[in-house]
Amino acid sequence: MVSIGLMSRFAGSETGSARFVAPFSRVFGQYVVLIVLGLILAVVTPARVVAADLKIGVDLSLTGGTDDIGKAARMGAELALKEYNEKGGYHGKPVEAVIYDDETKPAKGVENVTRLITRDHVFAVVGPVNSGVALAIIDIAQRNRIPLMDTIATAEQITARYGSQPKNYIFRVSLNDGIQTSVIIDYIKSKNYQRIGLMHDSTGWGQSGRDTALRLLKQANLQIAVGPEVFDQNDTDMTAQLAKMQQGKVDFIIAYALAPAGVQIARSMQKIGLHVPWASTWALIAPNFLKLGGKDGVEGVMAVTSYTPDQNANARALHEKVERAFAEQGGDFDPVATAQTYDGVRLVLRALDRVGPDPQKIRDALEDIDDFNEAATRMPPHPFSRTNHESLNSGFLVVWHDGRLVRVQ
Amino acid sequence: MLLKLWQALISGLSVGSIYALIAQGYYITYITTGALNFGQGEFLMIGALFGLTCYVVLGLPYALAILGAVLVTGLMGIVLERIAIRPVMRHALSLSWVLSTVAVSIILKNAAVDLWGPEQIKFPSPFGEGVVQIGPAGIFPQELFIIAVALGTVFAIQIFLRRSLLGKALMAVAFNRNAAAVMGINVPRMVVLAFVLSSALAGLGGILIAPITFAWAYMGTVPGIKAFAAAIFGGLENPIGILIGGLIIGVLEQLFGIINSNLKEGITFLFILLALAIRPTGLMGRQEIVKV
Repeated sequence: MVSIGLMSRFAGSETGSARFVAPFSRVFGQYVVLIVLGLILAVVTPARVVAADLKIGVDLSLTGGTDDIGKAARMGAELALKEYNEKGGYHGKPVEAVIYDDETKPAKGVENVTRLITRDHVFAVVGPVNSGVALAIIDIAQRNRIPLMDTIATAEQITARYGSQPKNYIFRVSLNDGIQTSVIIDYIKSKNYQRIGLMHDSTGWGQSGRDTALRLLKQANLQIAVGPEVFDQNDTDMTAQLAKMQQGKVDFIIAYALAPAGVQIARSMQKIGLHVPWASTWALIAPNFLKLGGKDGVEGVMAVTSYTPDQNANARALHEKVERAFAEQGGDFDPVATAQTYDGVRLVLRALDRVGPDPQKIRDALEDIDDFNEAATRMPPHPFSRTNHESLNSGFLVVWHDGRLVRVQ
Repeated sequence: MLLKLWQALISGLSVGSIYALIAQGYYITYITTGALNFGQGEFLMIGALFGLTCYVVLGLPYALAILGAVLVTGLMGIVLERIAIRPVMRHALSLSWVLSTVAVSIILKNAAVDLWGPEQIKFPSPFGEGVVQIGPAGIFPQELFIIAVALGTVFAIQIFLRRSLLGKALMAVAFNRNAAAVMGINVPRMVVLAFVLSSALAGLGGILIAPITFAWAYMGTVPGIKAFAAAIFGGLENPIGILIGGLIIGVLEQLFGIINSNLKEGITFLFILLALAIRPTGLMGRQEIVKV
């Protein structure tokens, strides 16, 4: 009945308009109406409304300066998924992982995530490693309403950029730069250091770290004596920057450096005879730092972490499993990256169990999960809420001593 | 301030001498064929990673590892000439060698990622990790070794080119290809020799610098470009100019790093642009090689 009524209304309007306009403009006018309608529809309807496939997208840096972290994260993701599928998967169907390498390049990350969403139809994306990549890809996830679980990248902006939107699609299982830097600043205050030097690499991560450090140091009423000094992540000689630190008589240095650059900082300090304590974020707890720098090279360097493989029963169990499962792959892995990604993927899968492969419902479910007791990291059982998308909220300082990481008291 | 200048000079000389060493390779192939191997940086990388395999994995002495790296990259120079230079140099004005050498360099980089992985690998220095004091500046023994070997090699190459029969034959080809052929010099063989020398120099640079920069598949790109800058800056046809150009670029980077670490490479290359605007053929580019 309704459809007949509609048809007659359309028919009426057509005959009505035909009286006043010539045939050509009438056809043309209809096209214009259609185009305008199409444009309105394109603007008001979300890019995706249908349920996604049973696929989870993973974008990590598997080549480039931080590939060891990326590979460790991949181990965590694969392990979480393997366990989930062995227990029967989602209603008897296995969930598939689609893993792409962004080569630590923001442009490649954008390409990967776009592909994951539009071609692979994933219900969520996990990654990336590098903050520069993250800051480029979160816009795509938010715009397409696909939850993005960042388990590595630490820039504050990643979860904050869409924090004021009704629905923020970006979640994190990693200690953000603000919290990490606060840990370092607390240490500086406890030791009463007065002349702080700041240096950072020229990547997106290094620059966002610099901004965070400048803000937090100002809040703590600490002056920067020298810096911010910048270096390229592949620079092999930091003597110019460090000689300035030496001349400025700094007594503590905060350096946003990845493992290779961290080794070069330690070496250049040795060269010019600069012996002051210095700290970086968790980038320097990577096994690669020890491997490249050697036991003596990294001695005394401090870094921030929120995780040790023996901190709780879940972490110990994970560590054993990872060591067993990936023994054949050889080499060291970054236990923190593995644990965070393992937890992050399991959270997404828990949300999948609750609401099915619908990206938007998964986003809502992630905020609601309040019974996640099996975390290997230190996240609470209710890790996210409407206003909080950071699951990890505290860290501590560790120092390299005799080739091992020791907690700073 | 004086201390900083002194440290910058010492640090700059060691990296600059590597640029100079690789740039000599550009010089040798340019004077004989008019072509450059834009994959010099990747030959450096192969030298470093092959040296790493010899030295760390196989446990050979460092001297043997150097020899191995030089031999392998030298042999690769023969292959390079055969597959990427000779086929495209049939026409005198052909510029296809630009693409073909870049193609080889990309192939090498991908192959290296496959063979050795994408990450940086520690190359322990045979001279230890201690610091030697030169005045108030510190330097690693490996860096002193780099300066000594790189500069020594540059001069040895010059003596070879000017004094030995083979070297004179090569210079004759450079001076006048047709006349050299008429005089009974096997020109194609001399061209091969030029690419062997050029590639081996890059390989030597790689194994020398690896303990400082780490060895990895992407290590060659930046030194390759800086060495090219050194060659152009110094004057592509003048080996002494190239040597000085390499050292100047190395030292300038460090000096500008003192002023502003953010802009050190930008200022260095701005300086080169200015220098080239004043002397378009490079620092010492106008001098002709007279004696052959």
